[in-house]
Formats: sequence, C-alpha cells, structure tokens
Amino acid sequence: MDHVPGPTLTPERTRQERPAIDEGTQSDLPWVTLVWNDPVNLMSYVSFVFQSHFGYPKPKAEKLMLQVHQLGKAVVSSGSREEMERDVEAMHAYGLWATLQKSG
Amino acid sequence: MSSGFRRVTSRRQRAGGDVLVAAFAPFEVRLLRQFVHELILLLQAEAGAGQEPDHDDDHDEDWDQFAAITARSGLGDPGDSDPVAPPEDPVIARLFPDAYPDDDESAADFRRFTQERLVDGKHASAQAVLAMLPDDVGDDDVEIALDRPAALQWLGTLNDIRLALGTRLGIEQDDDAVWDALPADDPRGTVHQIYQWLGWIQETLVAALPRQR
Repeated sequence: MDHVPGPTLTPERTRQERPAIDEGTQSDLPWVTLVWNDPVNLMSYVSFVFQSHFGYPKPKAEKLMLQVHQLGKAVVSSGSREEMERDVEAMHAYGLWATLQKSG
Repeated sequence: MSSGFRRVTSRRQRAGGDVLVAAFAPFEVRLLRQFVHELILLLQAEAGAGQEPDHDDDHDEDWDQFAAITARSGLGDPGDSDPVAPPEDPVIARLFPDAYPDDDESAADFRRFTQERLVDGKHASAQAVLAMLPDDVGDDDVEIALDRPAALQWLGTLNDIRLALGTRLGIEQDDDAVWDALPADDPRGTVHQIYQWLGWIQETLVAALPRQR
C-alpha cells in the first residue's frame, strides 16, 4: 500500500494514521526484546536472523544489526511479555544474545 | 581446502528451490565431525539425561579422539546439571543466556519453560549435521548439498560451535592481532584458526542462502 504510484486516494488520512499506530505501539506494547553485541556472531548472520525471524526487510535488518554492533544493543521487537519471551527464545535458538524488559 | 558454499539451481531441485553446495577435503570433514560431535556431547550433558551418549563399541577410538580434542579445545566440561539455576559454565551461559538479566526469578522461570526446547532444537540440528558428514572419508573431497531446512541447521550448528569455541578462547571484538601474535606452538592458535575457518564456512553459507519472506 505504501507504493501506490501516482496520486494516492486518501493521502491525508494515510499520513494521519501512521502516528496513531506508533502511539499504540508505545502504550499497548510495554515489553521489548533487546539483542546485545557479542564478538562471535557474524554481522551477516545477525542481519540474516533479523530478516528470517522478524520478516524485516534487509535495510531494516542491516540497520538494527549495525546498531547492535556499534552501540552494543538494539531493540529488535516490542509487544506483550509473552510475545517477547517467544522472540527471546527464538534469538537464543539462533545463538544471538537476547533479553527482554519493560519498555521505557 | 573447501571454497565454501555456493548456490546451485539444478533441474532436479527446481521444484524444491536451490541447493547450497560445498566440497570439503577429508580432513575438513573429520574436523567438522569432531566439533559437531563435541557440541552434541555438551548439549547431552546439559540435557541432564545423566546417561552415556549412544555409541557402539566400534567407535571407542573415535571417542578417545574426541575426548582428547575436547580437552585440548576446552569445548566440553559443562559441569552444570541444574536446568533452572544460572549456568556456571560460561559456554552454557552463552548458549542459553539469562532472558531477564535483572530479575533472577523471571530468568529461572524462563529457563524452566524454554531450556529443554532450546537444548533439543540445538541437539537435533547438530545430529542432522553430523548425519550428513560421512565417518568413513577416503582420499576424495566430500560434496555436501543442503536444501533450505538443512542449511538452517548447519547455520545454527556452526554458530553454536563458534559460540562455544569463542567463549573458551576469550574472543573479543577486533582482536585478530592478539591471535596473530601467538607463538606458533601455542595450542590456542590452532583452535583459533579452526574458529576462523568455521566462521568463514558460515559466512559463505549465509551469503549463498536465498532470502525468503
């Protein structure tokens, strides 16, 4: 839907809806999954895991991977505590060092 | 030496997608078998089954060899069988990190609910990889062909072995110069070369794997 060519049908509403979704993400999804940097995991592998597990497009996966590598950690997903526990378990299955915590 | 994995589209495989193919020299197959086998032993110990791993008497010589390499590389010796307590062994702690670093009770609960599944998953992958590596290599290179599910098992297993070796070696970010400067007779140098070799194979595998979704 983001790539409809030419004039879109309701551009204003689309623009208004996006912040609403972001606000919802913050208030309704109070837990986050963090992935931490470690010296063993390959950068290409970490990016691959973010694409495979979360279904993130390559640019987003690469950005998160670089954030992990350069800043030491990155929030890779947010949601309910149960969802984050599933994500952390999946990251551990892949061999990434992941934790979960309350957001904020 | 192997030149790593590459993607091949064969007529036979067209319906099921590409395959990832690599040729390994006999000594490389033996090395892979040894380290995959060590990982399996480590995971079996962690599973806390308290039973000897299955093997028939014909393989005692192999097992002695594995034990020697385990002692050399220090991959083994988990020494921790409590599935809920934080692991004392740093390799186990790295393979199964605390999900809640600041909340011991939640961390213990997470272990209680996930550890067995995680160990089983890693163990199943390692067993699948081992089953693809012939134990009676001759003088010729061995060709390994992986479909996507098998490639994911290889990726996970190579990564787990590297995590274990990297933890035992004390690998740090951008520390190549430290390892390059080791005296030639330092056994850690050999283990580090194997660690890098495994990383390179994993790198070719990631690069060759087609993205899905």
